[in-house]
Amino acid sequence: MEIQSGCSKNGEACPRLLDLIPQEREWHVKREDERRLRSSEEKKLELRLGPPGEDNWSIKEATKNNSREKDESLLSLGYFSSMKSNGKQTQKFPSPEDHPVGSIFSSPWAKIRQHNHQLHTKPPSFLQFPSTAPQSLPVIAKESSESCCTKAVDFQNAEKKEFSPPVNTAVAPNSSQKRTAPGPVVGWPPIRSFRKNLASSSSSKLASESPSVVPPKVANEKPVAQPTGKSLFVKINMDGVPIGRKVDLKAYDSYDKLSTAVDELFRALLAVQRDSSAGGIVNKQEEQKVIMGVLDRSGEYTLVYEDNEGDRMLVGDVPWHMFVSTVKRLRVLKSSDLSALSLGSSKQGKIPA
Amino acid sequence: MQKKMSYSFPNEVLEHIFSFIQSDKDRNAVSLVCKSWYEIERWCRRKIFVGNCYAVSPGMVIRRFPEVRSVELKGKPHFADFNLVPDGWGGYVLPWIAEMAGAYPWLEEIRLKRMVVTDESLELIAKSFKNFKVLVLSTCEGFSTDGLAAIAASCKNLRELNLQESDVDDLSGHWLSHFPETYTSLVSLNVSCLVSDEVSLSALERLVGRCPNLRTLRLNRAVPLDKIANILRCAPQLVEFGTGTYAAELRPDVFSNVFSNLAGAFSNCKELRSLSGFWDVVPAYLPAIYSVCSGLTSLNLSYATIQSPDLIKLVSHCPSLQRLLVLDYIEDGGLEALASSCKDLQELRVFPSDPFAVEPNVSLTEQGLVTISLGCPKLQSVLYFCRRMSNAALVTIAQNRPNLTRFRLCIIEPKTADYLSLEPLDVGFGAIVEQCKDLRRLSLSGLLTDRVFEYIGTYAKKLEMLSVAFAGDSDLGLHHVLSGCESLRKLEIRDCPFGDKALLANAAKLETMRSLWMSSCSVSFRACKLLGQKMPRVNVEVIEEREPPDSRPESCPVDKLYIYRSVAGPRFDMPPFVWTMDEDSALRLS
Repeated sequence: MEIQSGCSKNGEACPRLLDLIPQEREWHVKREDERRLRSSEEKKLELRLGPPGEDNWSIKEATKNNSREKDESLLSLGYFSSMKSNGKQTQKFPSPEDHPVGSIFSSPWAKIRQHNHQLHTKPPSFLQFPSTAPQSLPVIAKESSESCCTKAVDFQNAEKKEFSPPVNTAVAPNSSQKRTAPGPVVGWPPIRSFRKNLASSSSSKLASESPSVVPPKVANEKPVAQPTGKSLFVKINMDGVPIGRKVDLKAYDSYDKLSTAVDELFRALLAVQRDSSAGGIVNKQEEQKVIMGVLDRSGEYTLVYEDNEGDRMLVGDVPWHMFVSTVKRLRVLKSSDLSALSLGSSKQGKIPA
Repeated sequence: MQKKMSYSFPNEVLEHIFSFIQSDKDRNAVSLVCKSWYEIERWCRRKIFVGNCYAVSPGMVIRRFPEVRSVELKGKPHFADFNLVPDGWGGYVLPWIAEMAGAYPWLEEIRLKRMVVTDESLELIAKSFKNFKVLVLSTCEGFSTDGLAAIAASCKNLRELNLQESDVDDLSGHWLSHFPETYTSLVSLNVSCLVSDEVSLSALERLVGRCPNLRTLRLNRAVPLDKIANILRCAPQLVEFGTGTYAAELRPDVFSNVFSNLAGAFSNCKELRSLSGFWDVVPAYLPAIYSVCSGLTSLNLSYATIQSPDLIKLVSHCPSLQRLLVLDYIEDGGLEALASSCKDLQELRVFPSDPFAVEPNVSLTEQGLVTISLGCPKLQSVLYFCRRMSNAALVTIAQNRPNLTRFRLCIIEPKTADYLSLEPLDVGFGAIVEQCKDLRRLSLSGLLTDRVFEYIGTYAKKLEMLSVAFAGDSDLGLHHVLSGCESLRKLEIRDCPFGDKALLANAAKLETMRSLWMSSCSVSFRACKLLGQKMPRVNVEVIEEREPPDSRPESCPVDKLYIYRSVAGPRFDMPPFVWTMDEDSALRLS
């Protein structure tokens, strides 16, 4: 399968891919350091956990310039041999029988009793990475996720120095309620989206009730009906694509960024559609037409949204923050369909969606 | 003269005997006895469960089991619940429906979990299966109320429509009106996930009123509290009920009216055993349910943002409670009250009210869970979010409750150590797996080294599902699990320093499991290709959203990896960001 940069076919600059190249070089360097760090740690571990004979446990061969045969032997040794039937030579890992973990209820338990009565300030020896506090995010995860898979979140800036005020303090003005917790980790804590923003969403409901309703104590902290959580997912549908997607508006701070994201999202989808309708296996690298000009209405498609009153509006008319607070869902329409709809701006009359 | 078994029983007798065997495992065993039993069994199997929709193709299922009446399919990996699986990944049900439409005209039940269901699929179901009875769409997405309208209009024998936590495009409440006036067979309706504010109350009341067998009714948030009484009066035989928003005005004239109406309606429901809903609770209205509390076995208060004193009052009225879902507003004090009131408690789930706050916003600690473990002798299943834990607490819990079968602990801040000793929580979780010999499901959190995996590999012999995040030091950890956990079916891992070694050394294990998910770990692209090449009966899929995995060095770790056993070969409905490592692609890409 020919791998081609999707953008080069169009002859257009694709900032996303170009930006990754310098980072990639950095990544190479980082990876090397990381590996050196790791192999010394592996050795430390090995000394603690395994009998001295286990020094074939080394990570060196996994680092660079692995020949294919080496891979195969690594795989086949583990794959075809069981732990018990082969000699120590081929064992890459110590088996449980070599140094069985003691029952928790013998010596470690005694240790715990001691610990209950004293507070250790010496950091545990298990921690191998320099860290500001035992609770900080792991360095390796940071690096590998940062370089090889650029995420929107910049972990390095996610210091735990900032704290948000506890939620159940007395009512404070809006501005001081801004969340300043450390950078969000995707999918953590592991709760479903409908369980997030419970406190804020319950107050939003009550805001529309009559003033004589007594709201729960916690919900009182957020007088404005606005999710202040880490993400704001709204559905986005595109004409001609049966399955909608979701975008997290909190990930963007301007219409331009949203437009680019929408562009990328649906470019891929249109590709899949076109290829699957042609009946072939998807060629992921084939480039398709770019959805340009979703905002300036000059392109083939236009981005519209439905606000909290159910009205359909053109994206881009109101200031960004106002848009974020009223948008309920997004839609990418063919521009040719627009004139038939006569959409309104926020000032003029609106057409119900 | 010895007669062979197969000659002495006619097929019909064997078939009749097999019809008493419902469990899939037993059915599978029966089919392995001999060829004739295999044949007889396949013709009389009525229920199919496919834990991973990509493990087998619809055609294969249909060819082997021609007379199926009930199908259950699961699609996306569990971590999709937490937005770790990008949209468009897959799990489309349409191909299944399309093939079953022709092959199983008498299909009665479809149960789906984490699948993409479209209105087209729903319309196809509505028109293809004349005796369709049960539709359960759990955590599904991709469809709208238009599709539901088609189901409502066409399925005259529908018993159950359950949209459990699905993501539905709620276009209007009018889909309910598509149930014809002659339709009376509804037994179970769960629409609690519908989000629009529009709900056709009159259609709902009429529907409820004309279905005398209705046992389960879970409404959505849009149904106002003052309408609940009317609905309940139409269906006093309800066993399970979910309210909508549990808020109304407190002005004295309004309150006394709504409250007495509500309390009266609830007191008529003598069969009520399960309550849920409770969005936006105004505590003053809670006593309206007191009359049914003594019989309640299941209570879902996980949306109720009320404080501990109100929660304590409520649970102390429910001595028969077996299952409680609640927010951490209950605090340690509330859990203490729970432990002394509810001796039959089997399942407890405590969710975080403010998961992103750095400082604890409530006084819920490990102590609450310890108290519950001591006070509730029947406790089997725990899901607990908290902000601190200690090895001592975990050891105590393990000693108190060796009958635990599901233990999921989420300490909100990753890599949190034992707050007393500042040590890793290895020993605590080790105690859990050592004492709880029937443990089937475990989720780890907190600061953990390879040691905890050593314990798990040694002791957790019945463990079927393990969830790991921000834990371990090296491949040794993963190796312990893969080599030691004999019953392991599902393993999901994120942000752990596990790389190629353990995976490659235990490659054979992957065929004995349903699936393995690894994201933000250190498995290299090369290892993925190798696995894909060497293991034809396992699909190795790499998820990379930013750039193709082969545009970087082979030793670069992949972002996300999903490996599952399959007899259907690699799938072809993948989006651009999923790469399959089958034999061909491995050769092409190298």
